[in-house]
Order: sequence, then structure tokens, then C-alpha cells
Amino acid sequence: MTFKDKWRFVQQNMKKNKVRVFMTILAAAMGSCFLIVLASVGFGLHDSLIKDELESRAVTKIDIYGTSDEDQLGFTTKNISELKQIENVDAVRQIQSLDETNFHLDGYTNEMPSAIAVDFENEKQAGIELGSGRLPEKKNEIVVSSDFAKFLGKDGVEEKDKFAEDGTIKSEHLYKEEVLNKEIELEVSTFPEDGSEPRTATEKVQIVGIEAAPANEYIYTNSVKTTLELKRTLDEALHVTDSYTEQGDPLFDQVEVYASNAESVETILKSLDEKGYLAYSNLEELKNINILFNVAKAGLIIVGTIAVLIASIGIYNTMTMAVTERAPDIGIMKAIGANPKTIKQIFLMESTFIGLAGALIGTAVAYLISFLVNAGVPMILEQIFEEEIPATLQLSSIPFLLAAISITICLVVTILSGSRPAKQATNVDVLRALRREI
Amino acid sequence: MITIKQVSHHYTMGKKAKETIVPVLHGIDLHVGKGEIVSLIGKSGSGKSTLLHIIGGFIQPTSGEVAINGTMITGWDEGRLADFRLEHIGYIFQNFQLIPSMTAAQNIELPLILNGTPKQKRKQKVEDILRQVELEAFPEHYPSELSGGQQQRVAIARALILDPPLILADEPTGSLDSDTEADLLSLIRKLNKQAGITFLIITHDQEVAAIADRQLEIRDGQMLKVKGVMPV
Ligand SMILES: Nc1ncnc2c1ncn2[C@@H]1O[C@H](COP(=O)(O)OP(=O)(O)O)[C@@H](O)[C@H]1O
Ligand SMILES: [Mg+2]
Repeated sequence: MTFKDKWRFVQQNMKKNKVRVFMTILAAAMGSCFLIVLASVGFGLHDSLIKDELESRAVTKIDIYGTSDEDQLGFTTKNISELKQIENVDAVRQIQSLDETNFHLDGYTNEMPSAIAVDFENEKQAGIELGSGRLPEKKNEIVVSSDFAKFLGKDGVEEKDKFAEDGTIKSEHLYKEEVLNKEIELEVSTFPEDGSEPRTATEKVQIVGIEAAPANEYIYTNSVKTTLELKRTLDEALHVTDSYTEQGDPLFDQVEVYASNAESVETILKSLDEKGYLAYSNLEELKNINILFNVAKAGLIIVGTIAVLIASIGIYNTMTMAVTERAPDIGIMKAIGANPKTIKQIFLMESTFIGLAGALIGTAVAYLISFLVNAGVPMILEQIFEEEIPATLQLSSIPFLLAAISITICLVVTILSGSRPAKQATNVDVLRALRREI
Repeated sequence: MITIKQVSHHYTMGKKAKETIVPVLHGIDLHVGKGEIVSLIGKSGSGKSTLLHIIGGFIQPTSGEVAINGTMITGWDEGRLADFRLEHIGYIFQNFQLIPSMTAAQNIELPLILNGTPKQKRKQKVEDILRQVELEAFPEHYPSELSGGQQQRVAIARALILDPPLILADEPTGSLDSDTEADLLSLIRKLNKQAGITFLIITHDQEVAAIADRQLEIRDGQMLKVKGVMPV
């Protein structure tokens, strides 16, 4: 018997019991939809809270916070080149912090952003992302963070009038124009430890680039990156020598090593340890959180599977009734010479169809619900708490993997629940069926 | 065509603890040659249907062997028997056994579907056989819309559609009036003469017995020869 003919039989059988088949498909659809929607919350939260982080440079970043030489107060250029030579190291960021800085622009001031001096060639290798503009090429060029302009407040406004409730500068006191390509005055101050008068130096600098906004929209960053040459000029003006060795080589306050991929982080950590560096990577921590999320997702899938199992009782019932009802026909078919295997396949096809149809409909509806939840819940939350929900926060996400898992579970469960009735069908006793005893 | 050696059969009834044994057949030997029409008579309850079921492979004899067309089928599993039955045996049941939800044509088509005949060929064959049993006017009728004689002819058409060499019939004229019975008998004779099909027919009808080459009777579970000659 050909597949097409078997399928025709299945169709005829289902046509005879349209309502029952429909209800069973509905139950299977509800089960698989419930499974997907439930688990999608785990996937959604995982995605929006962790995944970005895991895929970003954060995992390949290794912070170096000390060298083997305890007397040395920073990292020398020798240290840097040693770090660069370690296998699988993509980039090394070398950072000198600036003292207290203020930036003045046309009567507006950004007070004390975190200012650092870096080597922009290294920044490029470490994956700095610009939202607009370019990286500095000359000494007096800088890049600022995406929120830099939000901290550029009008001079001479009283502190208590200047800030809104959430700590940001009120919009009426903000600098309105585009800051890119503006020339701005950098003012840096130092407060000597010997108690002598604070000293101040200024330089005109040009904002040539603005960094891309961070993935987490609810974090404000107010920072500035300058060139190392500018830092040296300022230090010379201020007579500050902390950032240099006695020979005049620069000393770096902070060094970050970037591994070429997450897998090589561990071996890099090991060789750092051998070379006497103190290092830290948040990969392990992230890995643990990741495992936690994966366990939670598995748990949700298992809970959702219970719904599918309940639906499978419906399929079992439907198929058992179908077999009982059709026992006389099955008897006649067997009497003519229908192989029991053929009979079994026909019934298995029917239950598989019910399961597949249910799974597909359920999956489609789950995608719709997921979409509505993602669109609707933030809106409702914003209404209730009057606070903006970041757009990156996704409550529900259905990756292809989840849909595939759900469809597989649904199919396996329905085939299992349909297999006993199908077996019953093959066991129909021909002569008893012909005598209408069953 | 059919060779039966020392076939005995008894039914076991009741639950395990209080089984009762109903003996039916005792050491039956039978040979039906190719192209023969053999009729089988016997009192009600003498075991005629039981013997036919054994030959058709619906029940396994308690002891003895059955061979059809030179193939020993005793002891086969259900699936193998089903495949064999589909190709070699046309079975005409006492009360037609048509599937009520299928039309006459669909019922007749069933064996063709089961053995995987392509659709186009199926249509042709069904049309041919409908003409042969003079039902060309009723292909779309459901069994409930057909008379007893017409239903019987649908059952015969279904038994014949795969051109089996052997037809087993259990009281095929039992529920027919004498006119339709005469039609049926002439059809059987025609098929026997033209296609060389072998028939084993259970009946208590003298008319049917009359067209047979041989007439056998089961009595007390034994086979008796009533009329005709045993072919060699
Ligand atoms: N499935 C069965 N279980 C128990 N006894 C049966 C069964 N089928 C038939 N019998 C018994 O076997 C005997 C022979 O029956 P059967 O072959 O139908 O006779 P016939 O067809 O000659 O009238 C009867 O006594 C009947 O009661
Ligand atoms: Mg009988």
C-alpha cells in the first residue's frame, strides 16, 4: 500500500470524526503553545540579561591588576609588550587615568567625567565602537561617551535647580547643539599630597568621535578618552611625575588583555599566572550564571511538557475510540489481506498528524503570544510604575531551538500515546470482528 | 491447489481454570486440484466454516498441515498470512462483509490499494470487473443502497479483483433468492471455465452442489466423499 493511499485513508477517517479530531488537535496545540510560551520567558530573560554580555568582548577581557614587582606602581611598556606576546592575545589596552577634569564649552561645563588616556591603536584592536565621528589621530583630539552631552550643564545655575529628580541635568539647562567636531576646553587639576596649592592646566581639544551607546540603555556613561601624548603635555604643565618611570617611560594604571576567543581565556590566565601577573576574568562568573539560566530553561520546558502530556491523554482517547469504532472495518481489511503493519501505520499516521498539526498551530500561536507579550507588558509596566523599560529587555523569546524542541516533544509524546491504540488495531481478531463481536 | 493433511481442530472455551474443549475436526485429509469446483456440505455446526477458516489462514489448526498452491502456510505469522491471502485467495463471506462507509467501487478497489496498484490501473480494473459482475450501473452506491444479490456480487468482484487462483466461499447463496442464485452460479461456472479459477464452496443448497465437480461432506469431524471422482 502506498503512502498516498494510507494518507487518503487517514483523511477519510478524520473526516468522519471532524469534531473529535479538531478538539484533539486543539488540546495538543494548547499543550505545545503553553510549553513554548512558558519556556520562552526563560529564553527571553536569558537573552536580554546575559547573552549580549557573553557574546561581547566582556568575556574575552582579562583585567590585570598587578605585576610580580610589588614596588612597581603601574605597568611599564615592557610589561605591555610582554603581555602582547602571549599566545591568543588579540589586544592589550593600556590606560593612564587623568586627575580631576572639567570640560568647558560655550558657557556649559561637564564636571568630572571619568577621563583616561589611551593608545587608540590598541583601542581599535580591543574593539572600540564609535556611534559617530572617528578615532583621534592628533594629540589634541578626544572621543567622548554617548551620554557626554547629557552632562554638559549651563554654568552659573544653582545646584538645586540644575538637576531633575533622577539626578540628570534638567533639559532646559542642557547644551542643545551637536558636540561632535566642537572644540572644547579641557581643564585638569592636581591636588599635591605634600599639601601645596592645587595646580591647574588647560588645553583646547577637539571632539572627533562619539562612542556607540552601550547595550544596556539604562546605564549612563560619562567618560572621555584622550591621547597619551596629551596626558604627557598636561602632566608636564602640572609638574606631575606619578605616571612615569625615573627614565621617563610611561607607567600605566590599568591594563586589560583581550583574548581572541572565550575558549583561550583559561590558557591565557594560566600563562599570566606563570609570568607573575595578577589577573581576573569574569568569564567563569558569567559561565555559572549561564548554566543557571540553562537549568531554569530546562525546568520550564519540563513543566511545559506536562501540559503536552495532558494533551496526549486526549490523543490516546481519540485514537482508542477510533480503533474501537473501526474494528469491523479493520477486521474486513485484514480478512481481505491487509497486513497488520499497514493497519498500524495508518493509525500511527493519524495520531502523528494530530500531534504535528497541534504542534505547528501551537507554535504559531506561541509566536503571536510572545510578540504580544513583548509589545504589551512593557507598556503595562510603564503605565503602572511610570518608569521607562529599556527596549533591550525582552520578556519572551522563541529561538528556533525552542520551537524545534517543543515540536519534537509534542511529536514524540503523540506518537507514544498513539502507539498503543495502533497496536490494538493490529490485534483486532478478524473472525470476531466479522461476527461483529467487537 | 489445496492440500490438507491430517488437520484436526478444537476450540478452547472459558477461563483458564475451567477450560472446556470443543472438538470440531478430526484428522481431515483433502486435496482440491487446480480448476476444480468442490462443494462442501454438512450439518450446521459440523465444522465447515472452521475448515474454510483454516484454509484461509484465519485460524491455525490444532494439528496437521495446510498447503495452498504448493506453499505450506501452517504456522505462519499473521502478517505473512495476510500478504499470502491478498495475492492467492479470494474469500467470499457468508454475509458479504462489505465496508459500509465505502461505495461499491471503493470496496472492490480495496485489494488493489492494499497491494499497491497504481491509481490509473486500479480505475480500469474496477471498471472491468464491475462490468463482469453486471454492476456497472452502481459503482457509487453504498452497500446499504444495494440489494442482497448486488452486495454479494460486489463481494465476489472484490474477491476476484486481484485474479486469485483460488476462491473460498462460505454459503454464498444463503441469503439470495433463486433468480439471483442462478445468476451467481452461472458467474461461478463462467469464471471457472474461462479463468480456470478453483472454487471451494460451502453450501447446503442442491443447486450449488450440482455445479460442483465433486461434493464432500463433513460428518462427525470426518470428511466423506459424496459424489464425483477424486482427481489424481
Ligand atoms: N470461535 C469459536 N469458539 C468456540 N467454538 C466455536 C467457535 N467457532 C465455532 N465454534 C464451534 O465449532 C463448531 C463448528 O462450527 P462451524 O465451523 O461454524 O460450523 P458450520 O460452519 O459447519 O456450521 C460449532 O459447534 C461451533 O459452536
Ligand atoms: Mg458456517
